[in-house]
Amino acid sequence: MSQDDDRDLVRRILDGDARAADAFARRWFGPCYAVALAVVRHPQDAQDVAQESLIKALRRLDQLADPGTPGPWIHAIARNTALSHLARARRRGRSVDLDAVTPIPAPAAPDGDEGARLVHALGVLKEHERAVVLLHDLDGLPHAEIATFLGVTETNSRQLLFVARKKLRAVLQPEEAMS
Amino acid sequence: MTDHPIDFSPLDPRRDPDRFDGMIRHVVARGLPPPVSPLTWSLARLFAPGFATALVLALVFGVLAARVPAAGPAPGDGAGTAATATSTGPFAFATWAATGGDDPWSDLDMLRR
Repeated sequence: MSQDDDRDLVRRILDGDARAADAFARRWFGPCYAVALAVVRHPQDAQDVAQESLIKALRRLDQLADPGTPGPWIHAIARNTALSHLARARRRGRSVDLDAVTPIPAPAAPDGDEGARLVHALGVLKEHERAVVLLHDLDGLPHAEIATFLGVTETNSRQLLFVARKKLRAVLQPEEAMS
Repeated sequence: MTDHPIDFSPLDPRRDPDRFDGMIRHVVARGLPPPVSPLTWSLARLFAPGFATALVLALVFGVLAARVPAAGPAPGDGAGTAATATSTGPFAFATWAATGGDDPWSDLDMLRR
């Protein structure tokens, strides 16, 4: 989607166009979910965070400085919302993985649950590595868009993806990674 | 080997399209303010001038009514206080407004006296 498309979408939403809001939510749900999952590392919570982030974004759309490039602004909202979610969970004393920013060893995953196995494996990555690999391999964003969205260079995005995949394969397919 | 994407499909929220559509609808419903229906706009346009006129009239008569007690009998004029309380001030104004009069302007002059 081009900058003009994004700008047009924002303008239509501000005019009250519900279809444009639907298109906006579909366009940005994946990136918000990837960033949220990179922080909270719980798929259901990440979906809740992605929804909350998009609701905030829609309500504050008139504050968006550059309607042609909403990515960095949405990323900031999603990450802040995810961090707030973690903080709330911590205050409630809920058992969540609070070591979301630093890498931790992946614990053994339950057999037969591929989703849980992936979530556990993501624990070996740093938050930025998780975000890049999820944006690229789960959401299918190209490096140029990932770079804009996260505020890193394209080269940095490629390097982070390379490192993230290597680390994940070492956990998910240890035999293959060794060969 | 690191050129191949990791299969994250088990974590993809789009795997359940109905649930995903539900989340999108929830976001749009809560994020976008509800649109004002054309009927509401039509009614607002129809009645807005009337409401505005009524508001101005209420303000004008409110100011006039508020001035009446200040022009009433002097303090200490005990004998006339009870009688004038019903013939002047807000009570008299309300009576006049309810019953009407032949000449509203002379009535208003009387109230001001």
